[in-house]
Amino acid sequence: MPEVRARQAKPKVAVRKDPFAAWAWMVTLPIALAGLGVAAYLTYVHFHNPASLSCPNTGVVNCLKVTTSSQSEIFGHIPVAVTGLAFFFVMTLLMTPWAWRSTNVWISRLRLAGAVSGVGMVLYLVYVEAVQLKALCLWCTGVHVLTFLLFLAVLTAYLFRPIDAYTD
Amino acid sequence: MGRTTNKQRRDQQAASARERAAAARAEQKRQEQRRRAITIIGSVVGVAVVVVVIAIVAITHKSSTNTTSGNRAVASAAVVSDVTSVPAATLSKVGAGPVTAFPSPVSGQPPLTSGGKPEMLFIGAEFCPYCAAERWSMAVALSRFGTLNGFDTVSSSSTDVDPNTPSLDFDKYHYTSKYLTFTAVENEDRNHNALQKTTTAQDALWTKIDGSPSYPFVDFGNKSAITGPSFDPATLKGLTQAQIASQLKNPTGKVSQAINGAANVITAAICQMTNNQPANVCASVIPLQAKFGA
Repeated sequence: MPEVRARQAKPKVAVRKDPFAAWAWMVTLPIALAGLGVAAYLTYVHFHNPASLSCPNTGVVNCLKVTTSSQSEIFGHIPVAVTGLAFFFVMTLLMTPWAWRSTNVWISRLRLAGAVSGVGMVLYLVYVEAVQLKALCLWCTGVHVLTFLLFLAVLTAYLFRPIDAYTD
Repeated sequence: MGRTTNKQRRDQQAASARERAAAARAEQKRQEQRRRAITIIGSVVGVAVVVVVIAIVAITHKSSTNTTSGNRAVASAAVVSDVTSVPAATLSKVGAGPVTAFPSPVSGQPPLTSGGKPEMLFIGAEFCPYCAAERWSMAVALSRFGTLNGFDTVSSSSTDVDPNTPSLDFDKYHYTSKYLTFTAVENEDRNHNALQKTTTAQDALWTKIDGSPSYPFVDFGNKSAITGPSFDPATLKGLTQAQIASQLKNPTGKVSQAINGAANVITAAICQMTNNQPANVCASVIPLQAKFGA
């Protein structure tokens, strides 16, 4: 009899399948992790030896010129590489399966806001490179491309995810 | 027979209503999907348009820069390579070249250091033709003690003496060396606008050693200092940066003699700071140190 009571007392958890969350994290998490890796490398090089950055110097392509320019630090103190690292750290957390399975609509909105602000920052940095410095950094361009891809994936997910996937 | 009953009519109407509702839902779904697709495509197009506008601005801006003779531009890979890899054999053959103005000894000052290494401090300006000449020699000399890159090219003022003297620019650069720290301050741009500020300590040093501060000023760890031109900027007249750089490996040319001669003198001054390290670089220029202050 006690065994029967124990079985009866076990609560039933309703597991809702969300196939959308499954493909979303499989697409976005690798992009975010790749961005995190490149941003970490750029941050490491910024604080150690910018000249050691593996990048050709062909005039227009000149990573050193970009990463050691006065524009490489926001307000003269905060390295752009560090802001990139912080951005991808937060975005990586928001791209995990747990975050995607969350039914909290604010997580979804935060994810979209992060992606939009990332693209905004990318456009500003492209302007700085092309117009002010007249030099392109291949590693930075890699980060820009990853940020844009992440934006596209997050936007697609935001628009196509069923409304009933959210509880709030 | 042939007559529909009320019940059949009601069933037909209900079926028709269901079909219309299903069609409306399908249409609404199609419109919703179209709206989403337009949002995504619009975002992509929006970003692409901004990038294209930036590219047009960059190209237009570049064109206007090129039409103004001698403005700042990225140093080409060939210029960087030629300047930073002048063969030691060429430098040995040149010696002091035509240089007659040697660094003056500095006395009564504590050693100038930065990051635990002796510091070479350059204060110059983009408009200054003497600075324009001096930078070539500094770049050649510094490259013997470490790695110099990230610098631009520039020409001196078009309205000063020796107008449009072609040069390198140290407003942005990167230098790594285990022997010394190099600090460059480009105080004013080509049009005499403020560019980079000197610190209070640099100002005080400049005034104390130079008396009446003028460009160029090069302090070698407070052991010696250059306070005037090492060679005549007119030597570089009419040449492009690429033409100058390509001549540096030739020990007999006028340009090479002037730039490499001054580079050897600067190398000798740097060797004083580093206690003649590295020996393979300093051995050939130690005799020049005897001329300092002459």
